[in-house]
Amino acid sequence: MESSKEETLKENENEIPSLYADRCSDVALHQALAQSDAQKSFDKLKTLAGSWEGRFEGKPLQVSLRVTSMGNALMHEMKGDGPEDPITMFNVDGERLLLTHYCDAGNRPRMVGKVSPDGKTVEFEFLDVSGSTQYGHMQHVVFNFIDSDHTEKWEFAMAAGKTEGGLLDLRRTK
Amino acid sequence: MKSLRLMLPVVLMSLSSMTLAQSDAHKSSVAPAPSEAQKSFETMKNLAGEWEGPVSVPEVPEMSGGKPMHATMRVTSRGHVLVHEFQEAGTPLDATKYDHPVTMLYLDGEQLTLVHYCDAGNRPRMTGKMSPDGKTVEFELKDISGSTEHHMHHGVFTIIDANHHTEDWTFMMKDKPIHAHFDLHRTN
Repeated sequence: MESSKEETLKENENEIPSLYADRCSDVALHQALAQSDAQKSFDKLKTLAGSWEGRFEGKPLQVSLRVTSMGNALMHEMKGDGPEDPITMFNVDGERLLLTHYCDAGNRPRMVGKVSPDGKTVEFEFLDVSGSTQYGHMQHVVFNFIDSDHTEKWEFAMAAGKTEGGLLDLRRTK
Repeated sequence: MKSLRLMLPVVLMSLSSMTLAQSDAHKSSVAPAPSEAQKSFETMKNLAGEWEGPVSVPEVPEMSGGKPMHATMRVTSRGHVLVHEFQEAGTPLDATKYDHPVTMLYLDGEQLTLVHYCDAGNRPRMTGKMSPDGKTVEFELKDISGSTEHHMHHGVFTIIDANHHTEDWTFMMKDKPIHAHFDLHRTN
């Protein structure tokens, strides 16, 4: 009987990790299934964390992306040869992925982003803007994942109703 | 990418043109006095730099007396924003391991405003006012996006001198306030 008990215990011991693993798998599966599109889009963007370099109209440009706030925010910073240095913060807000662009034009447009079905693009559409729009505001952004590099297309709505766009072709340096 | 080239010819030149136009139109006039919010923001921007010092948390003594905290404050976005970042001194940035809240301060109309990208996952927004003696800027909660269960609720910056300031942040754990006092000295 004793040996039978031991065998049962041993069997149970063997089962515990397996049951635990199964439970973990279930939880992971459930979490994966339950993960919102916004969170998926955010996680996709967070893979861009690092330092990037590119050129825009012949001039060098640096972009840094940092995951901050215990993983709850992604901070995007652009640096060229001037004092512009705009910062864009990304975060999940309920069921949507939000960006807030702290623009050197002095306003703060917000946009809502979605990852494309193929996972290669995250596109942000204009939501609203706080601050003066006297000189226009940023209104649309597309992040395009190309192998280990990525591009960013920023579109600015001019005060006169026209739009201007700029494409950044960025290579990872760190 | 307005900010870095397209915006240069468009926005900046527009700004320059506007500034010049205004300057031409009001050559004899004196620049308008800065608003209280602008004064408060300028005072805050004087804190730009690197800071380090101890933190004390009376309600949670075990959080006091540990490693010093490092605060970075940077003026960005052509002077429209002050970015404030906290991190435990001497540690590498690792968002999965360390707290690293980011606070953005800016003028929203006639209000000095901050948005705190909290490691609690929410984003409280506060409005700030400077004391008459110009030594303290105090921020009161305006609203929060994200969960409101635990959140940063109140912030006070006290300027001792050019190389020394304190920050008092109140965090709400449900209904219980937790006070963190940072005594920061400029390192750069």
